[in-house]
Amino acid sequence: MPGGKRIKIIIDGREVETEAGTLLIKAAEDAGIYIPRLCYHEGLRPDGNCRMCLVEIEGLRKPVPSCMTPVREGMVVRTNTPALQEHRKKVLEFILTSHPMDCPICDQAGECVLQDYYFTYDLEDRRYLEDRERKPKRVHWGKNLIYDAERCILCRRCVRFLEDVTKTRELGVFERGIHSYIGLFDGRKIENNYSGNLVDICPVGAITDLDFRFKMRVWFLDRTPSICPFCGRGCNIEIHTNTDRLRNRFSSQRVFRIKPRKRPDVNGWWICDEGRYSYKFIDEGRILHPLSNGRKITWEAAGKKLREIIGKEVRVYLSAWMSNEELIYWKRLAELLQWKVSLVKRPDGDEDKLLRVKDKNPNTTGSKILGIKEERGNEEVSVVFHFPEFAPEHRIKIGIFTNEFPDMERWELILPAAVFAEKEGHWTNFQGKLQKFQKALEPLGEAREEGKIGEFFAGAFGIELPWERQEMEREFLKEYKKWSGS
Amino acid sequence: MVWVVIKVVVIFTWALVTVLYITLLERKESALIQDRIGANRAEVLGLRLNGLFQPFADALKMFFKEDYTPPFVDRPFYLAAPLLALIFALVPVGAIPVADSLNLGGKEFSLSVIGSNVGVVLVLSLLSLGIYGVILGGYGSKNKYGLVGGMRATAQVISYEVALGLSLVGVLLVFPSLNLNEIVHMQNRYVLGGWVPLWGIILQPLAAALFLIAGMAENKRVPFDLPEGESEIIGYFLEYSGMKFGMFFVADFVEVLLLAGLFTTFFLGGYNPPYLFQDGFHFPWGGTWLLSPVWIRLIQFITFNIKLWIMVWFLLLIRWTYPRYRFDQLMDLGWKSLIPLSIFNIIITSGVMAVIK
Amino acid sequence: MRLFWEAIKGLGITGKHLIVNLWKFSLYYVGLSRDKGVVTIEYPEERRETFPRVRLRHRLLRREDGRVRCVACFMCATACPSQCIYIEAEEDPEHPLEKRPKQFLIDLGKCAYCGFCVEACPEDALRMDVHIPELAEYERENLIYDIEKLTKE
Repeated sequence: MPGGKRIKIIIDGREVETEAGTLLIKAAEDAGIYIPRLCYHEGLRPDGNCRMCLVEIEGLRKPVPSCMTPVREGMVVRTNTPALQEHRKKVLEFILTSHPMDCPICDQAGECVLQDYYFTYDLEDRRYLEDRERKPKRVHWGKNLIYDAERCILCRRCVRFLEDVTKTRELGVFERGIHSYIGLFDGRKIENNYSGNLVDICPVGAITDLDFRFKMRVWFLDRTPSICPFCGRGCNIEIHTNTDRLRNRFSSQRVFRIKPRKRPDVNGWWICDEGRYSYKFIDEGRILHPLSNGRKITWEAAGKKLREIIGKEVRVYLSAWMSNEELIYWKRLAELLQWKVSLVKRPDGDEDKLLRVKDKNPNTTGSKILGIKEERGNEEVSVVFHFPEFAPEHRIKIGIFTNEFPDMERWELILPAAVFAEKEGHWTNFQGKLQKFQKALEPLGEAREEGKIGEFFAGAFGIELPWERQEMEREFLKEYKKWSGS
Repeated sequence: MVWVVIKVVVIFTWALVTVLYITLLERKESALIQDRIGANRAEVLGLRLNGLFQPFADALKMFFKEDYTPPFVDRPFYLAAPLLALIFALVPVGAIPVADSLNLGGKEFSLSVIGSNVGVVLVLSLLSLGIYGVILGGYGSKNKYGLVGGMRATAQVISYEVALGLSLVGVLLVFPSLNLNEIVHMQNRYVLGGWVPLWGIILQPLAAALFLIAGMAENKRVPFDLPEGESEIIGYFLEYSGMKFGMFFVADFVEVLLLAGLFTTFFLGGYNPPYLFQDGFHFPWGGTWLLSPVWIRLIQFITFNIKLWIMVWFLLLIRWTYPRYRFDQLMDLGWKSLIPLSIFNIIITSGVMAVIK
Repeated sequence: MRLFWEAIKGLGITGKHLIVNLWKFSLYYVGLSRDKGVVTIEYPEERRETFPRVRLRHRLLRREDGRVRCVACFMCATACPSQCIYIEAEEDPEHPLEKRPKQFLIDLGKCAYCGFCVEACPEDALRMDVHIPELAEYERENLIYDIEKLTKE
């Protein structure tokens, strides 16, 4: 309840100020006190079924679940007494009576909450000697989801996600007691656009991702904060990469998965499946060398080739996938060379009420701020960024592309560009928020980031215009202030 | 003429085979001294004989190794050096008497290649020429280490040349001849009731010791191996490989053979076993065993070989016992000990000779 | 003078070794004695006895039904300090243990033979040999052992 009354409570002897009506577990987390939880998720309606988050409140005889308790003025809460620890141990022991000990083959191992809690609170051997309950394993739930009922701890996060966030309601809990499991309603498959989030919110390895399944162990992954480029919203993501280890000698896969990053005012906790599973273009089908009519050449030869267009009329088609800094740099370069500038971008697509917006480019707003318009010209030479399909025919075509496409031999010159995961910069999303994406990988092959390619152009034409990203960032901020002020 | 050719072929074949087996002895002896077995893998038709064929394997390897000539060397010197080293080591071997001369139809036939009347002088002069191979090798390689090795070798050999020559003066005083064969003959005398032979080592023990030490220093082997010093400068043959290195290597062992042969000739009664005279054995206890001259030559040759191998064995024992000298110690030993001692030896010997006369 | 005697003593020591070893080895060589006298181990024919805790090349074990025991859990690759283990996992469609290694490579050229991988293995699938020390190869690539090579007897 935003804008509510500020009240004071005491957690573990510390005075904490929070808003009235906040859940106790959230208030504690904001104050830096972590209360263990299995079923509670910040983005979901609380359910209170796992009993891990019990806390003691002075004046109450029994411990209460902190995820179901709103704060009250003057509350005195203890989160870590010996009794609570003993209690958590028992909760874990009950869960582990039916949880298979197959961490070696479980993809969640390493980021599994249950595993973490076991090592934090329990660390005891099994006392329950009966056979484990056998339940369905390897159930395909549609798209990339695989469900393992034995590993499931029935926290119902997935059920609540489909009820509250996507409102599609494909899942429910079936059977009773120890036999209960999560299942699809008859004839349904999970085919909504946000199914990948189920993998993220599952605290254990019950729901795993077919795309990531058995590819890599999570502790080998480097995590780089980035921004999803596939629509105008610019969801905050994390790119999980692995470039060291022996792996690179035998396989070329560098990016293993995309995970959402929490940012309540843009994407909340979620991303859509397009953003999650479209990372393959970073590693596959990339252009690795400058190409001239489909033949591999060196950058020096490409420079020579560039000088042939001196004195001709040129139009640069910048793309809405370039960062703010690159756009302003290229705009300036075009001004110096007296080239015309226009914009190319992906066509609009579908949208929905949750995250996806119509505009399928990350930086349309940024190009708008700089006043770059979508227009076509009839100049002799066209320099096209990222989208070969926009090039005018029967003209000298110079392209700056990341991935291979069918008729590359019809281009006079193609320069390899770095993808968003290989450079650093800012995009302006459809709300007008500046968001930074960071460099997760080195450019593949001889590819260079667009700013560096701009510097290369400037060098070829004998212009002094060094590519300094931070300088360009400051320049863009000036433009941005003008724009947002008006 | 034919006789000379036969002698050359036989004697040098003998010398080279002996040298090959000196390398084997070196490997085996050093191995046993160090509680090892030594090379024993060379195999001919399944026959190993604990490494008896190893020298031939070594020689084959030497021949077939890549012979690389560095581009920066001084070619004439570089190519001449190993040849010179080998020739000046091999030629004196021809002067060593391996058996008495043979009297055929009233003519004397020497059984050594060079039956010269000035054998001692010849051997000494050829020995001092051997240094040319070394210094040219070091100089022609155009390598600092090679040059340092060559310089050290020169300094060392010239220093010890003096001691070597002076120690022989004592011997020449006792056995007044420059003919090596004559010197051997003169050692075939017996005293104390005919029991003890008057070998050089008995008449000139000090000269024998000095000759041995100076000879080893000439030889440039271990206690005196400063020109090589494989742990510090590698030496004058640093830039050599393949058979060119092999020639230096063989020259080294030929010098061992030469030193052992000369020592045998000067101090151990040469080719004569004790009590063997022109017509056969005359034992001091009264027995005689007459033999034909050819048989006597054969016995002499075998005896010479036995004495030679004992000396080689002793030289190798020394080589595998002592560590290397420091250069100043080496020079001290040469100039401050060996030369004064050899002069002292000459004075004493000539004094005694004068008194006896 | 003292140094002179020391030098003579040195000759005596080397000479003694020479004579004693020559005697013992000659007797051994003609078969009259079992004492060799020298310390040389004539390698291809004779071998030094390996210690029970020695760690040599890796072996992948199989289950009773012939499957490789390995479930591609990457524990060995995680524990490996020289990062010489490369695993690619895949789905095993029939077996209840859903995961199996598609590729399991150990680069013995990089391996430090520390045995951490054996310690780390939860399935007892990886062990180390104690008997065969011959691992020399002419090509580095041949030292990268795959499942086939690692499971071979």
